Amino acid sequence: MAAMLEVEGLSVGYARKGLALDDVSLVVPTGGIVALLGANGAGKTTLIRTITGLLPMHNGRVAQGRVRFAGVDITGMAAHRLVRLGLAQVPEGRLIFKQLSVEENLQVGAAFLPRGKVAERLEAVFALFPRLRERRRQAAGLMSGGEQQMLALGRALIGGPRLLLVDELSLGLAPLIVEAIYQQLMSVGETLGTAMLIVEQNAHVALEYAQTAYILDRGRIAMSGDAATVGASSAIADAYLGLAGEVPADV
Amino acid sequence: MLPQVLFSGLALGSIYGLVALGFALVFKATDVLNFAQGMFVVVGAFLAVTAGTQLHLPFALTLMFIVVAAALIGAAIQALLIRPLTGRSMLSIIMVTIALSIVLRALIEIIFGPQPRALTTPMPTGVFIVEGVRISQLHMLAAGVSWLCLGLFALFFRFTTFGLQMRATANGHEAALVSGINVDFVNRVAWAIGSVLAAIGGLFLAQLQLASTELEGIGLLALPAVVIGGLQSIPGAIIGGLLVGLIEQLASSYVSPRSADIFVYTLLLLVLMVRPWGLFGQRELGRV
Repeated sequence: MAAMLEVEGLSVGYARKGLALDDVSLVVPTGGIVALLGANGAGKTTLIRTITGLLPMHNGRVAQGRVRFAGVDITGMAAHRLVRLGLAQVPEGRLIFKQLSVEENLQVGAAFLPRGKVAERLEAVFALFPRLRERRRQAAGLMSGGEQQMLALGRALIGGPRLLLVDELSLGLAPLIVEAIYQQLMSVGETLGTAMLIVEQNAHVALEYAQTAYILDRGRIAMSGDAATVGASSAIADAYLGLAGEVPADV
Repeated sequence: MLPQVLFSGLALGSIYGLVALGFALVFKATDVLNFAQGMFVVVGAFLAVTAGTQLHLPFALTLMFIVVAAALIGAAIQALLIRPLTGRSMLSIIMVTIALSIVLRALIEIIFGPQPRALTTPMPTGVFIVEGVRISQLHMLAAGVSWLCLGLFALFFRFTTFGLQMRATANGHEAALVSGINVDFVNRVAWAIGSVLAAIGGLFLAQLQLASTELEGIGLLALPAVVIGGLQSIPGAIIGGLLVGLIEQLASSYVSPRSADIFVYTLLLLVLMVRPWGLFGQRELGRV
């Protein structure tokens, strides 16, 4: 199967700090679901930022390596161009537009589509998350955490991405809601063939849905393989309980 | 006398509101307090001098010249000065805008000389009298055009895709980037609009008074207007502008012409002490 996303030998640093990522390689196959696990400060956020073009706004720079999306070298490409190419993300902390209405949030996500397609895509997202249709006129900031997470997902999906990066989806949500949102996400993956890179601190949840998994530990890939193998390995315990305190946090 | 004072206060306040809207727009979209906004007013006044008095362009062309030139200047400043400073501290960017206003003042005085210039435009200068109140046609026109611009921008923000993208960017930069908005382009347009609004204010102020670098002080009244109205609020900027205009006219008529600034800045101080987010601003919502 062709690769949707290829990260090759990537090393990334921030100004006046050491490397946050050191020679990281990772592949997300077309239509595949890959989990990226690791403790706080392991470099997960840095990797996501590098892939999605947000590194410059956090004063980071790529020291080495490259990122390819559907065969195209996208290292250093501007964030908004990546979204238009079909690389969408659900960012950590959701980052919805709190002062805009639910529908406006979705329209922003659809702004780069041809005008005629927006209504149809909006309907598709509402069909996926009926809750958002009920609340379409409400200010997004006034919704519950789970609903805001649905909105962030809907905003990412409305443009019809080929690859979806999901960053810490479970953060601050009740387990039942996390489960429900993940199941919707998986049905999207099945029907549209969207490839996904799922970044989670909650390894349990991610391993339940992913086919393959990578463990990031202090900026390096500590282990990779199919989800069951990685889940059973001792590397996962090491990555979370090991020497995490020694790493500078990549916030 | 009171209706007279209220009329000129509201008319001048409309111009301040227009300039303040430009200031608030730039702040909301790019998080930059543009202390050169007052000098942008002066730039607008001298663009009018160039087009109308020196090039003798017809008035319609003069207007077009002012709008296009001001937009280009605003966009160029964003591209050359502001964008390279992305991610720097608020303080260093503010310093750059102050430096910019000093440089602009010097350039204008080099090009046009230090003495004020009169503006020659076909704008009406007559007066008509309603119920004993002298209504200056120029004041009426200035207020009318200001409100037209404000209305057009309200429609633009509410009903166009680009307006929506600007509101989204104002709500959160990273969120906008993540959603596929070309934030850099939105910022450039915000600077262009901010500069155009200041320039339109400058055109009217120069016609009401004279075109000179002294107009900067009037342009900078946008600052208290915006802070009083609420830095994050677009309607707040406009109402803040009206309030500043009213206070200024009331103070200069009933107390002393020199006292206007005292009253304006006292109100500014009171608002900052009692309601720091402004009369119409929102308290920052806590991040979840």
